[in-house]
Amino acid sequence: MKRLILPLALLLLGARVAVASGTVQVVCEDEKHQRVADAVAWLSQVDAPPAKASPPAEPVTIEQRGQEFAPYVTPILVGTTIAFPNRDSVQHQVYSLSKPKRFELPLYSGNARETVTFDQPGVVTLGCNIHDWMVAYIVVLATPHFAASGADGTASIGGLPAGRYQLEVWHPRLAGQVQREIVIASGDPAPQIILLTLKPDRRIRRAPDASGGGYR
Amino acid sequence: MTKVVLASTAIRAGVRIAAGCLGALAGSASVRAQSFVTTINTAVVWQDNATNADRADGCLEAWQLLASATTMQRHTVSRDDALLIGATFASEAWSPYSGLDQLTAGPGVGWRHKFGLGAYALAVRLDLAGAGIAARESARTGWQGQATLGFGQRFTEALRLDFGADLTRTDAHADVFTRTTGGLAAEMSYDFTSRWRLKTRLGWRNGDVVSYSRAAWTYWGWQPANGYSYASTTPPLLVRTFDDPYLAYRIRAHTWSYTVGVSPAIGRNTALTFQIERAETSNATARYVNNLYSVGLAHQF
Repeated sequence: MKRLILPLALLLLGARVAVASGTVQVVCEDEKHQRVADAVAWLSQVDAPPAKASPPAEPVTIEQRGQEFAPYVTPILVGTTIAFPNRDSVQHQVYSLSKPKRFELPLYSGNARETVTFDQPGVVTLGCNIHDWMVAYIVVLATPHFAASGADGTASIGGLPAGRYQLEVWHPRLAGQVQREIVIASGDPAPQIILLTLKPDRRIRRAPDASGGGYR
Repeated sequence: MTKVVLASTAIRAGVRIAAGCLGALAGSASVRAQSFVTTINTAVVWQDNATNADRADGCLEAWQLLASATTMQRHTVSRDDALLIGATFASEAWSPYSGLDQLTAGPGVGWRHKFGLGAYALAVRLDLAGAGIAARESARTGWQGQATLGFGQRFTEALRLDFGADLTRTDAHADVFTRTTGGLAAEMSYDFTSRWRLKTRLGWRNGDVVSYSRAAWTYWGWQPANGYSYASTTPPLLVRTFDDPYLAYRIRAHTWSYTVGVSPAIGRNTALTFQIERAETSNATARYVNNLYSVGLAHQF
């Protein structure tokens, strides 16, 4: 029995040490090995129920600036509230027709009177009813373990308890599903290099057409 | 005299429409205005038949330099409706035939309706515009009014179709340059990438056009040098716009035009356009072709 207690205690101690200490660096690259920004990586525990976490008390912000949404991609936890302040001199009419959250903020300047709470997981595509080229994505996740990749293509997910995780990655132009199982033990695991197959960038073009004159 | 009355009636009607729109705006508390959006457009065009001549000996090649600035203010009436009020200033310079140069300036009012929310909703637009024309040759100076009704549908991020119908009336000092035309057009744009766009347009127009013929002095006065008799709807006018004397005829004809172009975006708000257009105009007695090659630049502030 004594022989069992000691390893068990060490194991528990080791597990406690691993709590909130594991950080995974997810490095996103395309087929040409160029780093990919605006990818969302998240981890879901395989052997345990989803980690309990509360959405942030303050609303997350997605701005409209220069007639674009900023940031382009925002990962959030289910239940998070988002504010959509308009920093432009022109009015915007923000909407989503996506299944996880359909909403519309009537045309406004400055701060919108309403905030929006995202209570279903999934990808929500934002648009502006006035400026068709404006697009942004909200990735609503059931796990608190997520991050978006920056310009260097790296998404850092910290505070991970030890265990087995399913790593998933999403990007607006992703051609297929990306999943990988990883194990977090004591210490940080090696960076996870994820190769993404991306479709061509098909955003609605913003630049106007020039007319080429015409006969009379 | 009749023409002056018609023009002044049209102007008064336009003023009444504009006043009505402004009154509706002022009376509606829910209408909200946003700042002006200004777009500039320039193009260099080369065409092989600036004289719209149906005989090879009358065809003259020419360059056009076009520049315009349009500024519009959007007034939101409801979720799906908006009123646009603004103005357009445009110039047209010709080389070597500077007699065709002109400046136009005038107000415009437009209504936009979307059948639903988002970029893929069918959109309809109605535009009314009026302009004063100041031409280098006084016979071409006058007024112009245009009404356009259009539908636009985006099918994907890359593909968009537009259909339009327009009615244009030009009242010039000389009868021969006074004309009325109506047209229909279908336009498709397809973005191969977020930078490169392919544009195609099919247009049909019916109404008055001005065709020129090289003139020769005869015992009976100035006559077409080729001896051909044109079905002019007004007495022909001798013009010194070109190197040689030409007779200007106003004829009624229809035109089919075919346009293809590519447009690379060179910035977030700026794009170039390289375009080729072929227009075939005909009626019972005349037929001429215009081939136009242009490079344009558009920028939205």
